[in-house]
Amino acid sequence: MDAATYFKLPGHPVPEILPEWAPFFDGCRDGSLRIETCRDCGRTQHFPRGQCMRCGGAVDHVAAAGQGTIESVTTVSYTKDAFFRTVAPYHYALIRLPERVKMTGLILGDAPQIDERVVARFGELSEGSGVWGVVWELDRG
Amino acid sequence: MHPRTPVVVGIGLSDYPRAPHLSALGHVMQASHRAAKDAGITLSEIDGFMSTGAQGNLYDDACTAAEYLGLRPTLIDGSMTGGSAAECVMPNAMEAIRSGRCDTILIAYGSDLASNKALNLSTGTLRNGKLAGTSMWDSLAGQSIIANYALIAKRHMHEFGTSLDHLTEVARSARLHAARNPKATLRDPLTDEQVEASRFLADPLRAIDCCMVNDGGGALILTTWERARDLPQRPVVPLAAAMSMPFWSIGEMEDLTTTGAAIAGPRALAQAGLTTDDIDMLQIYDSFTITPLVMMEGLGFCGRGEAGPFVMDGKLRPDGALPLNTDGGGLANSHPGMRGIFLMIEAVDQLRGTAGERQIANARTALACGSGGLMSAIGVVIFTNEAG
Ligand SMILES: [Zn+2]
Repeated sequence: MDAATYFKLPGHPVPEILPEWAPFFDGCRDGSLRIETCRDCGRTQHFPRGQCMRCGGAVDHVAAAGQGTIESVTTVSYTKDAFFRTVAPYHYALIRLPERVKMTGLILGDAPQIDERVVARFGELSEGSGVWGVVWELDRG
Repeated sequence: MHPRTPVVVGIGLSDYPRAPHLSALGHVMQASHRAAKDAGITLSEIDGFMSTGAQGNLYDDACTAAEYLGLRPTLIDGSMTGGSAAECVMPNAMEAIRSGRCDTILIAYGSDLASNKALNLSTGTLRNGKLAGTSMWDSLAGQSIIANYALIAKRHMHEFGTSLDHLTEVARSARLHAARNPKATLRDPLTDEQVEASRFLADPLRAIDCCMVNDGGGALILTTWERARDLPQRPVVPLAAAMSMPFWSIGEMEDLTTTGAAIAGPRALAQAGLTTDDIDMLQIYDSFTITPLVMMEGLGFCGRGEAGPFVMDGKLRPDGALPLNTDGGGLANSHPGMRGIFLMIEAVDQLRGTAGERQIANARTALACGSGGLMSAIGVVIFTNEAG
């Protein structure tokens, strides 16, 4: 399955979006992965907090390269979730970004391996949900 | 022994593995009264209460539970560190007794996880039909508890060559302990055929690598050495307790094979004036077979990455040099959502010498290590039966 097909699937769960989290999801709508970067100390963080967790400084939402490396990955065959059951087996991973943050992600494609590179793909979490999100594809080009 | 040294004087378990007649609070109450009876006291003596449920403070938070039990505590601690909650409150409980802030503390837990179908620990929390809480970030990517632990197991295999055989040994050992526990659920040995047939739920974790889901509750009562002298049970002394929480979500885990056990373990051992060689048995939260392996490394029982080969001589088994989870653990005895309290109850039962068929001979010390969240919040407690 590719990202375009994934985002056409009905019934994707949508998140409750706190005020501090809105810029991330707005970024997904614009096709960019926004990572909070502190104006004072320059450090990055994810998930977003709206303020720097180390120094309390204001943050900018900086577009990341949209690439990452797989730190670990598992193929999930069993889940109780109504939506993810329709996608299973799927690949759930911890992804390390060059922007010095990590995030979990769903990887589309065959048998992803630790240390492989992945790229971010964006789309609406089921048509009409009004929330855009991110999945990852293997970068084997 | 100082007259205000904390001592465990009562332990109790509620009905398990299936108890459709009990709510989570019903388990807390039944286990608490059983612990009080075991201690030879009534709950009216309790002036400190420490408890947290697994239901997101809906029916079983500390205040609700305290009122349900009719307590009038002057100290209450409902810290929700997941499955390590009972271990993580122990430093506070011990300090409160030493300082005189409290005389008698009840630590309790209960869950109707198996009977209450409304509860779902699998895929995150829904509020108004939306994924809520910071776990939402991982839920959007398809997380489950098993999948998160699988990430840790996979990385451990990748870095250190840990194998399915190593994981299987933890599961086999749990069944052998359970065989000696009449109350345990899975008492038959794990056969090669069963191991072979066990499918991946989230690779590398198979069904045999996962703990059970059942109803149950437990309670433990601490008081002063002075008071304990008038009570019926052989005193078991918590020598030391420590906790560490370096992260909560998997995305904040700096290194997938390093946990707070590496902080809490050495701290607790140093406080107790002991080394790992002095520990006679382990009660470590076995949410999954990978968990005790990673914990043993952090605690210092073996080097980092060495836990797989370390356990292959059978040392974790009932007749081994370092028995693990002598009641059968969460893998084979009981796992009602959060297992922390049961680790300490089993340690106390063993050190009293009252563990029946599953008694480990001549045990003088036991280490309980609770792991909450995704190996996130680690609590370590060291017990002895030697009243020095
Ligand atoms: Zn900063």
